[in-house]
Amino acid sequence: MDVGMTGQDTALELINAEIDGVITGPQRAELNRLLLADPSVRALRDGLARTCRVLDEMPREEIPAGLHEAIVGRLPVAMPKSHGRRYTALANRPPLRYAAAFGGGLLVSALAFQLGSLDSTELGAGQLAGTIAEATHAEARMIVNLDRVRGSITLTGSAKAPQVVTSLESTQPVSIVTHLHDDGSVEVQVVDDATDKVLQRGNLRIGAAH
Amino acid sequence: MNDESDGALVRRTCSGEPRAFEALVRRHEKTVYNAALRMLHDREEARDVTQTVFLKVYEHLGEYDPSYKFYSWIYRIALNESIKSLQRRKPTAALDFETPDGAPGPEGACDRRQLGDGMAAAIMSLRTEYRAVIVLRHFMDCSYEDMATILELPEKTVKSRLFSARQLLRTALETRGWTSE
Repeated sequence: MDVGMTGQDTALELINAEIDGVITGPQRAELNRLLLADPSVRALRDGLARTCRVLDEMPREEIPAGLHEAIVGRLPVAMPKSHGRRYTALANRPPLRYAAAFGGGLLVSALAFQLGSLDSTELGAGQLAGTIAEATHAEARMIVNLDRVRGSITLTGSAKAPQVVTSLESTQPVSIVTHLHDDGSVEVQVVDDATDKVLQRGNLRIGAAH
Repeated sequence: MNDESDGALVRRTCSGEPRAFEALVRRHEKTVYNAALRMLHDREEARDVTQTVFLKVYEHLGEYDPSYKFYSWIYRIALNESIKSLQRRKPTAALDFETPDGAPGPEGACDRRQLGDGMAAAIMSLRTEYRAVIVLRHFMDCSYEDMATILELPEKTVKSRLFSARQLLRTALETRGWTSE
């Protein structure tokens, strides 16, 4: 028996339902009837079943070495936009205009300041957004060598467009809090998130480290 | 943390715990990478797409609608980024179905690797919309409903497209002397 267009469509739907594991009892009965009646349906079913078996058995590759770290390292310092609680807490530190919080691990990021554009009393998500860059022209660097936080914080760029680049490894949740002064220098604090205690403080100025 | 739902990890990320997002990355990165790899057939591009996907997810996490499955959202971004990457490519010669040594084995002698290579090339020969449903179903384990959500198409259309894509793959492979016996 040569199944017509409608029969072929029905057979195709039933075979695919069987392959995908969603075939019902009555559909199973109908498929069995078609398989018994028509060799072309059997050939279609065998071909599709093997095609799908080969697809499902194709190996899933492990992600390339370093990809996970690259993904995490590229994430912006700022939290996603709907993150209200932390923003509020940070905004309540009036003299401090930017904070990057991270819960441990490696933080490599950069923050570009826009002079005069920040509201000192309330920080919005857009204002918190940092950019990722490499510190290729370091001007001033603060070395962080604490028990659980190590690395460096670098001030680069120009006095009019300073950029803070962090490269830190931490085993505890900390915030990097910065305050851009009018003279272009940047005060940097490494703050313990659990206690709010300042672990290290420094003042960076283009051309000099303090 | 590994037992937490995606939704819980999203909430924690948005509450200021970047580690929670890292857990989301770890949970989904392999699937996203393999999906991009099957869409693009290029490891370097798949790597770039995977990075872009998670960056976009992070940047737009505040826009995520929790009434949808989180992975559906990620997978949609992964497919869209893969398609964008394809569109940026310069036209190149079409992939053929040769195995790496250029000599497909005699009928029944293809080993699993050759079969896999032939299948990978066959997938790449599909039009993008057909390739997408194959990738969603067979490499991302999506249900018909998931696929309909991700592709924003009626489930009936998705099924029809998937069945056609499987048929095309079967025909393409059989043209190469591959039999279903």
